[in-house]
Amino acid sequence: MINWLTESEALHYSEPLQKRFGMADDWLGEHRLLRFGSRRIYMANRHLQLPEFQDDTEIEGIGISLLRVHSQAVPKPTFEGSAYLLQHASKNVLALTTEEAELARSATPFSLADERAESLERGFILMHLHGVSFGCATFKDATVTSYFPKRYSHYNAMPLT
Amino acid sequence: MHALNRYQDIVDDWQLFMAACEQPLPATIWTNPLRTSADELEGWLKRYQLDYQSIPYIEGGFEFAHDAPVGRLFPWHAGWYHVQEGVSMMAAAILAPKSGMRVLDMCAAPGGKTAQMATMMAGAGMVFANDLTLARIKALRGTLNRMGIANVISTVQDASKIADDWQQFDAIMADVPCSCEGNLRRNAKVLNKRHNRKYLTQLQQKILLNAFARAKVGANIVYSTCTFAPEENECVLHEVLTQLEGKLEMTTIDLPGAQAQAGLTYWQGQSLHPDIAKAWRIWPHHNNSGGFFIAKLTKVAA
Ligand SMILES: C[S@@+](CC[C@H](N)C(=O)[O-])C[C@H]1O[C@@H](n2cnc3c(N)ncnc32)[C@H](O)[C@@H]1O
Repeated sequence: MINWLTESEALHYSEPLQKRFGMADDWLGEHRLLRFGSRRIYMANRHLQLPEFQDDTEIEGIGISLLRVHSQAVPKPTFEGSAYLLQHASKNVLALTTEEAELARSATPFSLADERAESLERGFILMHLHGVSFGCATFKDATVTSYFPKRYSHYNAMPLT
Repeated sequence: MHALNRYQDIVDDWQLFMAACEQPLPATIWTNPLRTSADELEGWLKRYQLDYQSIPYIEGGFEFAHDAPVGRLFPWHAGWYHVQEGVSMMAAAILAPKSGMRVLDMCAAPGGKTAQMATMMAGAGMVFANDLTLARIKALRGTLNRMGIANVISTVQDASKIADDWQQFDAIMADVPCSCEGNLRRNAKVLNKRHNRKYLTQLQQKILLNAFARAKVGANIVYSTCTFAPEENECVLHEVLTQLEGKLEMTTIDLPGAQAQAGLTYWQGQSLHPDIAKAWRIWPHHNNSGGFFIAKLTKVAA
């Protein structure tokens, strides 16, 4: 069952994300939020119009997964949702070094020196290496704990130069 | 390779063809314009010190040695590119759906062409990605999430039965199930596999006829297979064009940088519709790829 969120339902999720990562008001662009089965919020092109299928057609999915529904004040972006947010975010973004990227990939916590830690607020942050998203992490007490998914953790076929 | 002998008279250069079939297939990728640019991606390829060259017929397409680990580089998991057989990228590039269109991909899984079309449309408009098999269409979901493609609805239905209530489409991809002989460079065993050719060709015809039914007047349809067998290619087109004379027409294919041979107008004693020469037979030696067949058609009347 596809449930497009009403404007106020959508704000409940989009506003805290927008504040946290400093996106412009129109960061959702041509997208709308929806719920589809699981405890996730999806994002799909707002012009998508579903026909009323009269036959036995099954809808497998729609749009992309953006965040997980839970009780925290700022919803947790999914790994794939983080890549979209990164394209629009202006704060709480961490540019990783190659060594940190390796630690993030294996979900090993690492600490940041003062000057880099000062630019981040406690809570969720987005990470990237030369623009390539590494998903989100929690930042607390100058330590970064990455949520890099296990399904991708073997991704690094070659050493980086 | 004796299964290929039946094609000896129709391949434009048998020696080159056989030599290409013995070679491993290069690894190929295309850049996701929703995430990055070809230049930025090249920056990463250099960082990894990979040898690569541009694919001449695909914007943002790159080709590597067959064993290059392109599926396991950091930019892959961030959705910057997709790994897909070069020749298979041609079909979507030839259909070339525009932003805002309503597009149907009838046999979509695992979804390389869906992803390519949806990004060509800059994430606007909508693509219905349909397949008969739920398990296979689920593989598409991962690709869409990874690449940030939000204008796709994936469905499970028999493509030959997609009905009126789906409404009409501006462009349709019919990349039908086939005997897959063109995949021989990836897996030589495809040539030993037995297929019920009669069943396959009937299904292919039904799917193409239904593509016509679901298309708006003026819409383009791409019919493609990854097999060499004329029975599944030109002969299917011949049957459908004959049934839909004056309503469905072959269209000339224009894809600069790609090499191909004209579709056959004669096979095993039977003359075929002359316009089928507008279709493309892509043998492995033409573009150092797998084998493919592509026809572009236009619905000219209801
Ligand atoms: C050549 S593959 C498609 C490849 C796909 N277009 C891509 O680019 O990734 C053919 C697909 O047709 C599907 N198929 C087989 N019979 C079908 C039917 N009757 N209706 C819809 N899909 C069907 C198969 O499950 C298979 O995924």
